[in-house]
Amino acid sequence: MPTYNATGITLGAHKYGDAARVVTFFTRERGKVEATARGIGKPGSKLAAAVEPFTLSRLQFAEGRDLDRLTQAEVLQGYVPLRQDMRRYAYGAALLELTALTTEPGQAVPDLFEALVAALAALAGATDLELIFWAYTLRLLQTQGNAPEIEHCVHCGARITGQVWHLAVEGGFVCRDCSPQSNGRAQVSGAAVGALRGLVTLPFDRLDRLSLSQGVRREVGRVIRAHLSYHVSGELRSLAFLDKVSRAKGRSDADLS
Amino acid sequence: MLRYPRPLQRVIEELERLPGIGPKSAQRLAFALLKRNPADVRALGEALVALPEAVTRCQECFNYAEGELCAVCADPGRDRRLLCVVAEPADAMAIERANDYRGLYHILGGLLSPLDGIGPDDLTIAQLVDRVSRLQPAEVILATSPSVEGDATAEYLRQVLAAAGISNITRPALGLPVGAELDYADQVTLVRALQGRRAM
Repeated sequence: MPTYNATGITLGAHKYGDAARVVTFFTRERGKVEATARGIGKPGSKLAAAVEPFTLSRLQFAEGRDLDRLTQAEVLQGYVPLRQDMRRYAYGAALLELTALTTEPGQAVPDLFEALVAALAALAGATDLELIFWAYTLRLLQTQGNAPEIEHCVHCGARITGQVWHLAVEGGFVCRDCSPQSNGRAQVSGAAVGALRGLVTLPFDRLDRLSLSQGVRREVGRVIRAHLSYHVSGELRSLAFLDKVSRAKGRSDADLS
Repeated sequence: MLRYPRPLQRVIEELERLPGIGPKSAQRLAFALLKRNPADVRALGEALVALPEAVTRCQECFNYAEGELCAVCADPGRDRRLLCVVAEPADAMAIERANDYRGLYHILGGLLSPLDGIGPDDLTIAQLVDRVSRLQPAEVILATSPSVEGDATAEYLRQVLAAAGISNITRPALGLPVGAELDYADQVTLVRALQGRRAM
């Protein structure tokens, strides 16, 4: 049976029989790979650590008729802090979920793979986790050609300065010269456009340098959410989970106080 | 066109709904039942019919039970100062099989999972907090699996229980499995094994 090697991040796994899993990896060389991994539930399994979500590993697969089979794995990075903090865990899961939803088997996207590795590493130590999620979302949309145009007006091509209008369906921002009225678009400040530029250009481990006011943060979040929901169907479960955890914690804190 | 008799087809369809049973397996099981002694098949049917009413959830720990309380919670000989939190009844059964632990259990009913949308309200976490407030155990053992979901759930529980005033919260030791070769151990396991090293 022919084999191939790849470096990949585990996006998720589901049970297949008693001790096997069907695992989804996002690999540098082949994009998304679905493979079976046997003997996972048993103590001493040499593959068990590599099928845990978030794990970056060197992998060997044997090609199969339907699904390939994971035959060897060497863990390169386990991103342990993501297991020890519920918010890091949820944001990390959101990155994996987004990647799984938008990538295809057999289609390598090396830039996105590198972005995911950098984003997970940054999530393990950063304080502002939302910025990392946003930056990854924008870079993912970029690799698909769906990122908002943040340099020029999508109508006249003039460089954007100051306040502009935004509508996801138009693919970016419209300057005030082209549209003095909102016409259903959301108003976005120059500071928010600047923040969006920072999110796509700054390395993930330097995103903490972006210091956003609450108002700018709301605007940036609105723009990214609009593009995300326009290009990726369905709500991200991981973000809904984050809301659930916040609600439950808020309630238990209130009960205890 | 030849079709299976309706009662047989119904059994095949019902078996197919079980996890891990595909159409071929369902067919094979149904034929096997037909070939068995009718009394055996009737006994199996009676056992299945009795299942939903006969097996309940323990009102204390949420393990499977035959009455209001499971065998562990009803046993006055168990050490009520120890509470072991596990994800599923099968995990409690595995610890029982080891024949060493003599405390109580609490079954969460799963693990927190952002990818599956399982949040704190989908598990018996509120009931756990209520129970530890009543029992005031000397130690709560968070025995969820050493997986990403198990670790994250344990960490969340640690925070919730600490906020509820429980100070002695422990986690089973993690490290190299018996019989393992060191050079095959993965990074996460090795780090944990070294962090949890003990004086000899």
